[in-house]
Amino acid sequence: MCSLSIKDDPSEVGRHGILRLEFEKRKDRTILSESYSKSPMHVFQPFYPDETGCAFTHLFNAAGGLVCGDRIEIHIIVNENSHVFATTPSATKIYRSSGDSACQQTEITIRTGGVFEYLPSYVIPFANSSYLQKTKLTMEEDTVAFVLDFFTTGRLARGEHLQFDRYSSIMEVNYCGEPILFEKATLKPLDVNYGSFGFLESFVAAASVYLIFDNPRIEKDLLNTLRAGVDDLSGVLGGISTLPSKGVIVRLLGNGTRSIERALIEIWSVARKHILGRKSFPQLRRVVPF
Amino acid sequence: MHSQSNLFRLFQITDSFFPSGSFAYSRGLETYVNEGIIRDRDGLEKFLKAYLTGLVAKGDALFVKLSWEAAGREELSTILRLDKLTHSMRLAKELREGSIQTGRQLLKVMGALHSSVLLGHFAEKIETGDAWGHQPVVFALVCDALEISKEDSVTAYLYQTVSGVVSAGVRLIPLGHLEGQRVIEEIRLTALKIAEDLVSLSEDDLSSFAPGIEIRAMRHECLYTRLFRS
Repeated sequence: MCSLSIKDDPSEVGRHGILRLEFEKRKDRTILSESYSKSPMHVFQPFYPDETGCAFTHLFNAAGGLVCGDRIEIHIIVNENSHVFATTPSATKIYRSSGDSACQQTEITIRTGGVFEYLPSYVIPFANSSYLQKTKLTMEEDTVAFVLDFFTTGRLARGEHLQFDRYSSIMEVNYCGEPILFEKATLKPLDVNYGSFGFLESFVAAASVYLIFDNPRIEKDLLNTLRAGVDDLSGVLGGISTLPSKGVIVRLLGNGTRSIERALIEIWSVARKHILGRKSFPQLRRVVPF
Repeated sequence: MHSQSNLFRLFQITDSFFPSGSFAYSRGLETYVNEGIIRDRDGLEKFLKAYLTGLVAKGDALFVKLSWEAAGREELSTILRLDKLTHSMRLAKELREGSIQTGRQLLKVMGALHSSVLLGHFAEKIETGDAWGHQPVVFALVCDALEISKEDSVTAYLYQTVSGVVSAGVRLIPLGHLEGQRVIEEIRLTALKIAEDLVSLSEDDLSSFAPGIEIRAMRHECLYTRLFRS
């Protein structure tokens, strides 16, 4: 078991990577105003593939994955009215572990009027790996967040399926000081047959998309458009519902990563159009590692 | 005599005749039957096992235990926090609304039959919009008011969940009543194991994972013809 309270103790095994990024709006553009990194995490300068001034950034782990005892800390501050799109250059591999879990803790603060989009590639928990991730969003008034949680059941190409020891994911959202969403999923394939009805069934990849925004008037249209979009895709089973407060959730199960990625592109385009009022974004495929 | 009286009341609140409305909810099962995936007793049993393991063992049942303990300490603030927490963890709308409707109904009926200070205060908080009234929380408060032990409260809650799902399955698939009773008998040990494991669990252990069921509950929202409210 690894603790999510991260201390810097040199006697501990594993690397402790840190990434701190702060963004702010200058004129028409969101810029990276502060940054700090500790290996294996690295800072990348943002890029601007569209004309909206949204800063696109890669959260880059030079090690390509996590081994037991590794702890990655990511802190991102999205200041007033700025707009950040974060992704990863490739999948996150969780290598087999003999002791401690590997963990990643991501904390995002979105200040008034800010928008944060997080569309990382998937996590691959290898056989005998143990992983814990925690994502916490603290959102002020009039903010928007699109966040993805996406994992496979193992190294699919070599037929590895549900052979990891533990995969745990926590998602927490605070909006204007109010805890509006808490989710914790822990998978232990040694204890439970996740191939059964109700769990993953015959699917090998799972994703959740949290679309957090404070505008109930657009919810109905958004739900209908998302449902139509996801139902048309083959190889995925999707469900869409309104969240307990402020937003919509999409859950996806896929027969591979490609089918889920196709659904994600569709979902993102609909979300950007309905929630952010942006035109469709054909370059999205070039920005994300799909 | 006292304990017999408590047992009698426990039967009352878990009886399908009790007007909590919980038998109007299929919890995603209707979509599975509609899609032709669940067609027989074996399918129903697998569904029920996943529902209990994925959503109840460290979710609803743990909320019953935690709320019962908070009720014993008369900590209304903890009860309100647990009610909000269970709300923020139910991401599929129908599973969330079903829990609120049955919880409030249970509170209404039991509040009319028994005078309990804590139940009264919690009902006021619902009136003022400061509480939701989720079923596991209300169930625990009612059990506390009826002086039903923690273990019996949890077991009764599990039984009620099992009987609700099986009753929906018998009507939807459809199955004979004997088949339905077989499912209850088959699942008994799984349910009792969940109750046993709860003893060592705390709030930090709250978790859930049953994407197949959640997706079916979400898809149920737009099913054209349906018998059940969830």
